[in-house]
Amino acid sequence: MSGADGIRRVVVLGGGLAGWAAAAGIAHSLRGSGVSITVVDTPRSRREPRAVRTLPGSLAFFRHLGIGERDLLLQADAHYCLGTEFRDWPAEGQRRLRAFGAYGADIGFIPFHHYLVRSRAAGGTAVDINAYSVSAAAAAAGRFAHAPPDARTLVAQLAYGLCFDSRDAAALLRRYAERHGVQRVASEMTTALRHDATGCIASLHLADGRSVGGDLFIDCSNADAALLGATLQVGIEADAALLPCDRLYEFACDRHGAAAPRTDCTLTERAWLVATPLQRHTVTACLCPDGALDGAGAAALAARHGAAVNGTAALSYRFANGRRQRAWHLNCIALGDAAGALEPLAVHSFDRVQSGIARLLRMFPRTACDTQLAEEYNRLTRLEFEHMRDYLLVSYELPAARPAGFRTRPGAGREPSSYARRRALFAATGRHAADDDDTFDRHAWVAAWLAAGLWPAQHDPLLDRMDPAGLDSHFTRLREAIAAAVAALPAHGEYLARLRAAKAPGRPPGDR
Amino acid sequence: MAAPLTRIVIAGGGTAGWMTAAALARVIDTQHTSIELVESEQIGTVGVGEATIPAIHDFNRRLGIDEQDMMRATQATFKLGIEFVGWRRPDDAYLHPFGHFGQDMNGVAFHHYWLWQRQRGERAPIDDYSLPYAAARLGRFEFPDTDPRSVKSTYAYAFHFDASAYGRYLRRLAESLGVQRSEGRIVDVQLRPDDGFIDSLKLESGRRVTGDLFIDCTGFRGLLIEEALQTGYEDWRHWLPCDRAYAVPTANVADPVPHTRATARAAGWQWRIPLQHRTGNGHVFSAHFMSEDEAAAILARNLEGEALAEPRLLRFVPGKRRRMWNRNCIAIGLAGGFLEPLESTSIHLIQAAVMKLIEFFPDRRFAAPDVDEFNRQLDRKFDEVRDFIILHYKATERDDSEFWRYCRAMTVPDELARRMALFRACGVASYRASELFVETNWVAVFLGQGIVPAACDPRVACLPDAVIGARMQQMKTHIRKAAASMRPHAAVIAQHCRAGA
Repeated sequence: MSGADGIRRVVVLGGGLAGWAAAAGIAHSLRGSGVSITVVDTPRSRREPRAVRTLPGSLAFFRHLGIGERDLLLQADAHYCLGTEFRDWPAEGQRRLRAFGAYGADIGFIPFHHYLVRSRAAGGTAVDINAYSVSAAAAAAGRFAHAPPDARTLVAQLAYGLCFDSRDAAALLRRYAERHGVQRVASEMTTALRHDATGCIASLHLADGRSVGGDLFIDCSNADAALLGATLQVGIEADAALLPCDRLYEFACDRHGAAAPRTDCTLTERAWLVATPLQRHTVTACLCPDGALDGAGAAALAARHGAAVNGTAALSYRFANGRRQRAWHLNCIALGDAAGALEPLAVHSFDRVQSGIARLLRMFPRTACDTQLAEEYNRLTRLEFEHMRDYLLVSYELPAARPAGFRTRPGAGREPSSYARRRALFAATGRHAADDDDTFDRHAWVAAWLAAGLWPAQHDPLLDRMDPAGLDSHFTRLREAIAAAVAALPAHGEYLARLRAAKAPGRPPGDR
Repeated sequence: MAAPLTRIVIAGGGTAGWMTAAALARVIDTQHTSIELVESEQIGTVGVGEATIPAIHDFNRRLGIDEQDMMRATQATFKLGIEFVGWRRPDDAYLHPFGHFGQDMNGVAFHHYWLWQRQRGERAPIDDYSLPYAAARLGRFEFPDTDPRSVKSTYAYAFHFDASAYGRYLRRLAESLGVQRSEGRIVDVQLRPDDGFIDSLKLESGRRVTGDLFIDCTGFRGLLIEEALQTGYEDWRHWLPCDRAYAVPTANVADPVPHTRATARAAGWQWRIPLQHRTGNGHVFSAHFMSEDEAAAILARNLEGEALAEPRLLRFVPGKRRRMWNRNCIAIGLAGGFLEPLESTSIHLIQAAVMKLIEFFPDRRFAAPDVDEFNRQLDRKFDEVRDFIILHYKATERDDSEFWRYCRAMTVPDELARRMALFRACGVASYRASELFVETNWVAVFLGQGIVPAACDPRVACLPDAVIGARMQQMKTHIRKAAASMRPHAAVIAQHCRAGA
């Protein structure tokens, strides 16, 4: 396998977050194997949204490289994130939080939420699922702390991701990658040269006249998909076109004091406004259909909704919702938006970048054109993308009464069958259709459905053998214990300040 | 508006019926929803399997079953894996162990290092890196260590037991939890005229047993699901040609060994399952390729101990009911589908169906999305086990009989073909997180059946060859020592779970 046709030279196109994450991940995993890695750092690929919010699972990527949460706090402006609050959603004036992690406690075989379904039908009032989640309660209260190692407390159940600045994180990963021998070439790419016989990419021609040859090319050129799309002509599947937003404007906004550990998504008549808190400011993204708003209009909309847009020029980013038919084609593997983009409401593209890197490393090509591996990689990538797309569609479960504009359930009746099946099952009996390779677990799905106001028509019949009063007192105690545990936590800003001041090696427990 | 079930009727005892009854009685209140199991002592049960896989611990735990107590009551022995004799070639053997091979290094699965060394001329079989293999070879056993740093944490175990006794054991449990047993032969199944749901079972005595939900555990014939509801059956004989089995118990000739043995024969295979008091044997064969007489003769010739009964012939069609859940009837056990016990999955498939039933427990409205999802998930489970079994037949070098030549040449399901091609190319075993058989199982059988990948994970090159060699040597030594430090299997049984006389 290390013969003449093995992979000796890896070329990463793109010097944004995806590109440096890929370079760092590959360098870490292949250290000592003699494979060379070159990043073609193009200015274009650095023009990407600054605000990143990860799912809890994505932190494993950094941990694997030995990059701790504190490193991200100190070097990438990171901020903890326990979930997302949807505002003016699903109906105007409503606020619904969706937190990471587990909700409640299952009742033997019966998933917890059936208790809420039954209570609600019986006229109970304590049916806000967020009162049964430590992460949700802390997100609402603006509090955060790590539990001591090995603690079996409620606080130990806090599930969190991070918000961070993509440019700072890319710089951090670049330093890591260069320390591990990754070469950097800074220039735009002009063309990619292909082998006549195989069609594989042979080398990249750069604007400064240089040429970079390789055996394997990683396309991290974001929505451009300069290699996979433009060079290899792999198209986009149309099934995600039912998502309306394909333009993103981003503004830095001033903020006084610390922010709560969560992101906020506000649904307005013409756009989603997504506020991602970092330590030094809040980044507000305006997500709308291309052409619906210009930069100034987006800034004005954000300002009308309370964002203190601080005058810096807006970043504008265009993407097409949908998955490339193949993320891996010939000797090119695309990561992040280059492999397929989705409105960054539920999932940020970085979550796909890091899972793509993990998958790529698990199935690193043996030879330049490894068709069996590519097929498997593409199969798994497709499943992941479809699950994320379906989960995103829950954000469009809106009441019919909402006025027009883009605020209708896109493609109602045209949903993918996987989505329709899940929805029908939950709506009927509150059951979760567990699927392999789904980024989101039952808790995440249930929280999303209930937040959208989709309550099952019936609860699990097995619950009826349980004494309602006994369950009520059990879950009242849980609710109270969660509230008490969260009240005892420090405010998020205070905790961040404490972490920043702590001297290494006093790393936060999250880095254990 | 709630419409809870008031009466659940289980048609048929046997392992499937009593597993279902006991598990349901654990989660429902039998005061409000009665469970009645109808069985007839005139009808023999097919003691499926007798060998299990480690997932059975989960079932036993959920039912609150004490392992020692259960083992004593069922003449059980411990099982560390299945030895496959003659599957790749007549003179070849390997073990599919319940455990990992070696130790992963740098996040790369061990078998890639083994392949790397093999490409460099190292010939040690991968079995040398399996503790359950080493222990099985020595006839030794010990409970796995819970400390993940210990080499003794790298394996799991299951049981060989008398499935009829396991059924009786669960019957006692189920009856103590309020399940009502009725003796009687079912002579008719009456459907509701309006919607075609099952209304009641008519017994030979004339009694009508009514219910809201009917569980069909009547075995191959599927008295309810097929004879009454005509659900239809997918015939898988083109992939799994074996459709007959002769079964016979023999006297033990030595202490029971802690593994099952499956020996390939000219038109099928023979099992050997050691229990405390006897040994279960059987010859699974294809009637298309071999006569029943010849099959019986082969079994008789290849028994190690004295036969304790006349061999019993079982006829079956490998396959699966088109819908395991149809209207108000759920088929569990052989009524739902049959796969030969090559990987000891019969009891597991019952367990999986019972657990899914609890997950999708219905009320009298039988919500269609629940039924569809139940069927979708169980179909997937059956397909997955089916493909794993087909692999043993397809990946063979044998061409010494018409049967084996057929198997070698047959077209397999696409999913399996894809997995085989992937492993053959690069050593990646594709599996889903929820699958019963995960990477280590697929690797064991792929390699055991002679599919050696052309290339291994390139990340193995990150470690110097000398380091890999030294670590692998160390693993082998640890495994040898750990196996030698275990106690004889018979001694563990004597101390832990010897059955009463």
